[in-house]
Amino acid sequence: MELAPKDDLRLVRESLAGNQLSFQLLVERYEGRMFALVRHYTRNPVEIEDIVQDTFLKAFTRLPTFQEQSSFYTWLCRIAINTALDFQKRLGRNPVRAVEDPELALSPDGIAGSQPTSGRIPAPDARLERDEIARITQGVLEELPEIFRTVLVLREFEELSYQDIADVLGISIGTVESRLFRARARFKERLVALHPEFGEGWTS
Amino acid sequence: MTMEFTCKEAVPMIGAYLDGELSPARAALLRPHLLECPACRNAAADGRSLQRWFAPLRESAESGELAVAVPSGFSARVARRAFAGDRGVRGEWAERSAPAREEGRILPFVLRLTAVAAAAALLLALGVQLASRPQSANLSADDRAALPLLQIQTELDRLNGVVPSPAAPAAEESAETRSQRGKKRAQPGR
Repeated sequence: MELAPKDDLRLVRESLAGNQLSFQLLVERYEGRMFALVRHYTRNPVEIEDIVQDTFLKAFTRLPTFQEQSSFYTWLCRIAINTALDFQKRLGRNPVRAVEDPELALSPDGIAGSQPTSGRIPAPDARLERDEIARITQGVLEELPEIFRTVLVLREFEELSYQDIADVLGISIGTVESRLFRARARFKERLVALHPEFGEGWTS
Repeated sequence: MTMEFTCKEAVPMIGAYLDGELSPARAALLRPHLLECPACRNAAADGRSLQRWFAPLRESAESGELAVAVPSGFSARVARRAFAGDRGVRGEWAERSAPAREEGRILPFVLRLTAVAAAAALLLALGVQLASRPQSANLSADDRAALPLLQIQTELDRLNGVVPSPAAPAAEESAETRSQRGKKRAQPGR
């Protein structure tokens, strides 16, 4: 993803040189996207603000370690997601990780949805408003184990490439692919379970 | 279905294919299978249906009901705190219940007056940043050149005999639009 890296890099360097306004511009540039990203982990506006603020404060202290050839935005995403998960943990809301989810621990042969014939996923009903579809999608996302929600958010919401997702999550591209596959299967399953009405009348 | 390449192998690749993230070699394996296998073509159509659930989410978060307003003066406040040595709330969350956190915001301010605490935090931060540096920077995407999404979708439409989905027009968008918007979104700032 192209992120005007030259500008970012200039602002990073100026921030490191002690220019507070440059760091403020860097924050300004990404604050909107960070608020939107963190919203996938909590709906509480005060918590969102705290997490995003902490993300930027952490980013500032880690600025000297920022690798100039990488994207500032994906670097920031990584910090934001870790901060959001850390926050949940501290509040005792333990996000479900893959290892704790028996269905995820299956061998590749046992992956749910690996048979092409297993049900169809409906497209959103033409009569639904955009915000209505968005609410449904968000509701389904929130029901997914964190590991699946995160990879779907990075791909479908942030529109990151597999390489960028791999960088953000510190995993291989192959793992991104298989995790996305399982996440999509789970999304589809939850969507139909939560909203069977959209399954009806859907024909291929 | 070809004997060499089964549905079981094909299905997990379809998502990456639609994302334009499949290497040319693997796409060359998948394509003939899609030609022969209606079930896997259905799976590909499902993949596209799924994308239609997410486009409205992005749009709503940008300009609709789900948009999150950034509090005014946020960037100035954060930059000021960063340059004053504030490293974030960290440990506070563990001890405080949510209603008490408002008053807890003063704590970092008090903390930063303590030189010893600041020095300790610096050491901690150095440790954390060393531990949390991205490990995968060397991964290569060279073999993932992949087909442009538009081309893939056109091809799938052809394979499927093109029946435009009865999906919401608002949610319908061409791959071209999607990729253009992706570029637009890539321009930071609001």
